Amino acid sequence: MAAFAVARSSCGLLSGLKAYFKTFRQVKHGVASAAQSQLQQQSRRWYSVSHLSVQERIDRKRNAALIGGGQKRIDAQHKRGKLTARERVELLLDKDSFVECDMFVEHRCSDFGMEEDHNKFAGDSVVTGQGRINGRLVYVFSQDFTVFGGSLSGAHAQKICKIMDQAMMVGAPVIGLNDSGGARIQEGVESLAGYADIFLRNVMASGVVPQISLIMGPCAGGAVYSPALTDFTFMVKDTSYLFITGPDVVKSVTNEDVTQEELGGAKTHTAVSGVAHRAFENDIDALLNLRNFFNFLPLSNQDPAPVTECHDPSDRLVPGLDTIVPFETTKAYDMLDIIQGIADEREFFEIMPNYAKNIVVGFARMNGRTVGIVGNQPKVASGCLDINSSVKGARFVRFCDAFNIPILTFVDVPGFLPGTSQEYGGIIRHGAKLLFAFAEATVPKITIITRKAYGGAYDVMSSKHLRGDVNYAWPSAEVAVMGAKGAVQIIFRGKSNQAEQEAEYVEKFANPFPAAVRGFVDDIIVPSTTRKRICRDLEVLESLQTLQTDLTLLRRDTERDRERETDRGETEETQRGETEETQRGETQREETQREETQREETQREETQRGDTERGDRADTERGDRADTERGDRERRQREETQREGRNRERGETERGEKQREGRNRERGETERGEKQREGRNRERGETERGEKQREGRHRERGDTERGEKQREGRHRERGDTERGETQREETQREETQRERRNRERGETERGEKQREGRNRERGDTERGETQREGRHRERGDTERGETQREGRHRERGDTERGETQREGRHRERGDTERGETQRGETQRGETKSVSLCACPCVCVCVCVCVCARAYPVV
Amino acid sequence: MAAYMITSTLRRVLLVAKHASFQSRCCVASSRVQYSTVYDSNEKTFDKILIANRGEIACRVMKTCKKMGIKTVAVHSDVDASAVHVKMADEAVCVGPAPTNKSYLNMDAIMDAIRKTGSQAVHPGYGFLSENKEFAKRLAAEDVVFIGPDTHAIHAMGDKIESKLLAKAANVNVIPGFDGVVEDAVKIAGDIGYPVMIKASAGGGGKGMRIAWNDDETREGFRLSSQEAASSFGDDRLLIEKFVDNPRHIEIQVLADKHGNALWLNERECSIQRRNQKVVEEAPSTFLDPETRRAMGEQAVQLAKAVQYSSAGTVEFLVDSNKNFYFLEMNTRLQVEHPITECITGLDLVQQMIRVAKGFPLLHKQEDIPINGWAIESRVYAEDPYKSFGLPSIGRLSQYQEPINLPKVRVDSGIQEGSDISIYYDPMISKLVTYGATRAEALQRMEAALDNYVIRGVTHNIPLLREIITHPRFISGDITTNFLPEEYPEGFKGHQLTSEGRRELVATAAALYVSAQLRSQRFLGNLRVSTTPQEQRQWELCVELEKGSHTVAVSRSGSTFTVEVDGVKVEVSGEWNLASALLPVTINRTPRVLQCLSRDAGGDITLQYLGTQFKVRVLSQLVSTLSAHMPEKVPEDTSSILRSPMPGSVVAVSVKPGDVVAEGQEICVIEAMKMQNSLIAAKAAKVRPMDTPPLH
Repeated sequence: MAAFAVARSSCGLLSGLKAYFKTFRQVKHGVASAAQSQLQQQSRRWYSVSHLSVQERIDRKRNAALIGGGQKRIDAQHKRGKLTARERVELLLDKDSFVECDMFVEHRCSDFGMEEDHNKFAGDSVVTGQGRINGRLVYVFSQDFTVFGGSLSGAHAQKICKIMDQAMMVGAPVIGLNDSGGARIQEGVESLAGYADIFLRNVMASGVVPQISLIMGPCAGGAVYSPALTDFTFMVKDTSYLFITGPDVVKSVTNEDVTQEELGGAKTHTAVSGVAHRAFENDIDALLNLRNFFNFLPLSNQDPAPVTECHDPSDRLVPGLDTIVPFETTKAYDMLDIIQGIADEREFFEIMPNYAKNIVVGFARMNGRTVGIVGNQPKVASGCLDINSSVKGARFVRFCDAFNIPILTFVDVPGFLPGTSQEYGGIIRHGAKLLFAFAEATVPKITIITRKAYGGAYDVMSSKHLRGDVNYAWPSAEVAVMGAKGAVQIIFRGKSNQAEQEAEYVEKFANPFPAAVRGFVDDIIVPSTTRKRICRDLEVLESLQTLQTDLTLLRRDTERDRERETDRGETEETQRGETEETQRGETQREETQREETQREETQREETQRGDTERGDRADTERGDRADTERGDRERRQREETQREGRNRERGETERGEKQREGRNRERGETERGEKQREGRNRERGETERGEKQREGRHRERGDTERGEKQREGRHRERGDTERGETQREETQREETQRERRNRERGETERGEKQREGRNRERGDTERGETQREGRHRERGDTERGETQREGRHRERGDTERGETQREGRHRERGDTERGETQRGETQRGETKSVSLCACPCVCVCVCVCVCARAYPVV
Repeated sequence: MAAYMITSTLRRVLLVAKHASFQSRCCVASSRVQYSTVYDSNEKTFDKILIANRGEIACRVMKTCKKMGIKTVAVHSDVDASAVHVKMADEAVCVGPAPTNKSYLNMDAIMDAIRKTGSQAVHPGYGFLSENKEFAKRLAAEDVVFIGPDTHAIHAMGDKIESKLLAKAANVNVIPGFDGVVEDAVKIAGDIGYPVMIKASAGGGGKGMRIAWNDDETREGFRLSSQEAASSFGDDRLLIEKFVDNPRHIEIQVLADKHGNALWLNERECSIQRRNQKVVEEAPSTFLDPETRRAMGEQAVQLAKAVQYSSAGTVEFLVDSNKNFYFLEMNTRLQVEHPITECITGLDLVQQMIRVAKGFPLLHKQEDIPINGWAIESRVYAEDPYKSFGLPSIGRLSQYQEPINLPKVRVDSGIQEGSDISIYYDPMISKLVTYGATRAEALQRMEAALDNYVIRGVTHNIPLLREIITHPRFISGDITTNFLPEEYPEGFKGHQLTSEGRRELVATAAALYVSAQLRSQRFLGNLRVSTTPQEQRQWELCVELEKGSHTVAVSRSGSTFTVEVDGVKVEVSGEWNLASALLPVTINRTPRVLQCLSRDAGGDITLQYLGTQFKVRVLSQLVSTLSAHMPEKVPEDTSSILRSPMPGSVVAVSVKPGDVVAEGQEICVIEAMKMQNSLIAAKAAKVRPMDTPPLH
């Protein structure tokens, strides 16, 4: 891209080539065509012609924006089998639902002739906005290859950041349609900064709203990290590429001959590297499938898994399942047959169907409700767990957990794959990710052991011991440490009557009874009734999530709405002012601290305890900040009040909390559990442990109401927040909290921390942070960092939320650094460095291979 | 017959009044099943019968045994352990691994099973050991009753050469041919004159049977047939006879007892065949007049009496256009297509076989045997009808639903949803029988039954079956055994749409697409961010079907869609249950049942319409316009790749590494499901070293 851009800009200086750039001729698009002829007549400076009325100028600009880089390049794009940015958006979204934003934005580069009028394009090289997919809100950006090869300028990045921020604020998914040659070299570091801004958004939004990338053209160098940070990356076969450096650079550095397709084509990434989750035939196929896929996802972590109208009876028997597991335990069968058999209408959207095929993951619906399905695939490598399958499974489970999607697990696993390649590759570390993911997940988890569940892999695969809500075994299930042969060889080493012993072992262990008598499986079920049982269980388990469900939220919202309306205007103003201030200097923790101060001494005391518990770290950290914080708190309080108005935060907090709680607190106390337990706990005195600890934590964080609520409730789980918490907490936090109730509570805590009103979620962050302290400290830095950014972004605290949540959930997903964050920050460091080195190369290579080809004129 | 039926009805009524429990046993087919036989429990036959077969026929025999109050024992191979016939039996014994010669043909294991279970009799079904005289002998030696003819009849009729001599002696018309074991096939063929038919002396059911039109084909056919005969029947002797062109294959069902009584139970028309295997059968034949029928029946009975035949058997004839008929062979067993005879005569042939085997005399007289109505049987196979009218396919029946809820439909099957169609056994899914007062009625029911038959997971021949039974020539009754090659010289291509059919299909696909679109916008529950309701009432679509493209406008009112296909209005209404395998719709007031086999996000819909599967692509106008820009993906050139058309084992490799093969030359022979298929080179090439040595 760089090369292209350079060439392009320099040619701007050459009058001979001006004609090329001016050619906006023959626009075929209806809207644009009218404007076209006018445009041609216009001098390059048409936009600044003063005798035009403002309205005319607006119209012209809009029309210019609609044709992007001009008809010639649109034709070139089509010739390559690709659609234009706008066509893609139009296909992806419901008819007439696209609301564009930043159509008038232009790049700000003034070097290399870029400042010339003909080098300015309305909207720059990306189309952004929001719209609807099957009526549901989504934010979209679509890079426009016809404008400077879709290269990323500061303005381009800014546009993307803007909609991402808004998406996080509102709680709606972000879909990126990537088709970009790379960084815009003329802009230099501005472009790099733009990438980083986007990466940060990706990270912040992770776990908050679903993010999907669809790679529809080249995507190289620094640009690849944005898709890699999103939840799902899809590609278009034959026309899309993802790589750190293009084939030319590869050749010059390693002397390796490789084609673009081999290096970073859809096949490579869906089958070999696992970077992409799925590939589609062409642009249209990809966009239509994306629409279909979108229906499986909730809008954000505040929403329950979507439920669509279902025509498939939930009590349908599946007779085929009774005979699917072969009699010989060594014989394979296809797990997909089971999954399709039980799913609504046999529909299963498989994620990564060609990568680590020994585990099957994907989305389906049960009685209309989205579920995530994880299953060992006996057909491939006996369904064993290895590095790739563990990572694939873990990432998927964490996604489901983050977005309230119940998880169904079908187990037929002979164990982890042994061998040096696995051990050297760190199977222990990667296997742990899957274990961690299942263990921390607090969404409804239903497990069906269809056949083998051997060894550690049994534990890992969503066993009862990892908080499985309902665990079933089929009659063919064998839950044991290992297969009969191996076991007997160990137990009766050197003894002669091994066959006999083997028979005894089979009799004892190769059946579901050992697990069933211990209650490790809840029931042994007839396979054909599996669908019926799962649907029924999901209905019951749904109550776990009811708190999140909107019914409650809606009611609250309406109440709040009334309140809000009155004070909104003010709040917002105040918020901004405050936020900025707060953002700087004040770390999230500080905020928390402030909040505490506000809440009264009682709380402080608690906090102190809490602190003591956690460790001195917190204290030390706070020590300094504390003072500053208090001052800030006051401001924040105001802010909070304002924010409270919005309430929305609560929803977030809740989840966030759940998640954190889940982790932090003893997992056993899962949110659900917690809710139930809360009731109990208080009585029991768990309060002492749990609460103190939590409170401790929370307070620090800003025990804000939410915090408390959360802790208490962690207990109460999200929804309860206001009500539940208030009631329970009351004792603890008491009226103070209530008074503010909504506003201060969640918001204050978080909000303050987070700075903005919305930030409420931050509250979580704080907690999360406190808990992680270890992490936090690091984060502490981050927080500051963030504050600064926020300054930019203002996006209020989304960041915070995002972070907390992400850290929590994702870290491991681990492909990303997040996972590693937990383990070591070192990793982060690494990643960063990678992207840094990569960028320059990227630009070079991409430009050469992609753009040069695209623009032979240059 | 009428008298018999009346008495039986009377008796039934009386019995019902007396004991309900008894009634259940003598239950007779209601309007759905066509047996009018009474199962008299006072007539003591056997306590326990072992059924030495699998699949559909094993189930069929067990059904009658249950009605007669006889316990049943199933035998099965490893892979059949969870098969339907095993579940249905009172006891089941595993007799070996999957290959038939190690399980269902394994006499030692089956004898063991008989001893172990104390079975008093064995019903062999068809195929496998049903015409194996060795088996009958061994049973006799152990004093176990073989439910079928005596050993000498099996022996006499099982050998096609000997049977012909016997037939000649019994004054039955026979075709000219070589009587004796073939040594020099080419010379004999030359003597008889081409075309000739080469078939396994011990065979039946079209296995090991080939037609040769010249010396080369004779040599080739001789080799393949003897191999097939060896693997199917354990006997590689062949015979050659004159091949009668344009024949009809009509067979007479006979039933004889051990007391010298023999009946003929009318004919079955089995002319619709592919590769000499029957596809559609009917009873009676449209072709026979009562005189010919009687003449054939009487000759059949003569033959049966000549060999002191007892039990049910079938005498096959070739009938030429002048109603001359020639004896072909006699099948000393229950035939696959016996249900249609049962439908029109009201007899339960399995019951009759069991009674006869026990030594009871026949209760019926020849004049009791009626022709009541018309019955048609379609053999539903797991095979691809587009490849030489049916190459076996295998797979797992992911969805399976028989149309037994329709009136006067009988489905004899031995599989269920989830069953595997494996390479080891015959790929038959079921026998679909419909019955009616007239042929037209039976055909109409067959159409409906085929439309309502849900089979997913394997390729099946319903498209072919439905085309045959709606073919004008078939409806007129003007058929020969060459019907398929004559009507489909280029091979079967599926249903050819008329312009009206095309409109119907396009309209239904469009309506289905719209109802799916509408549903995908319906989210239940309370949503935090409300969805934008789409008030769309009109859809402008573009529907692609078989390379043609149609502009379609759809409007909806309730569940009725008015679809304008290229300016012509079609009204489609239905329930639009998107989860159901069947899609019953009313198209312009004509009720039709379509099946939606797949529907994806890209707008591709596969519909089964009039039996044939059509791929339809429904696109919005926008998508359709933009599709023009999408690159066309070039399909892989497969001419240099030779792929086995089905899974199977390699029985012979005809080339060596380094050989240069010409286009059309045989490379190797694959055996699957008892059929040998030679794979030929698609273009001239040189053979590279092979990884696997040929297996023998």
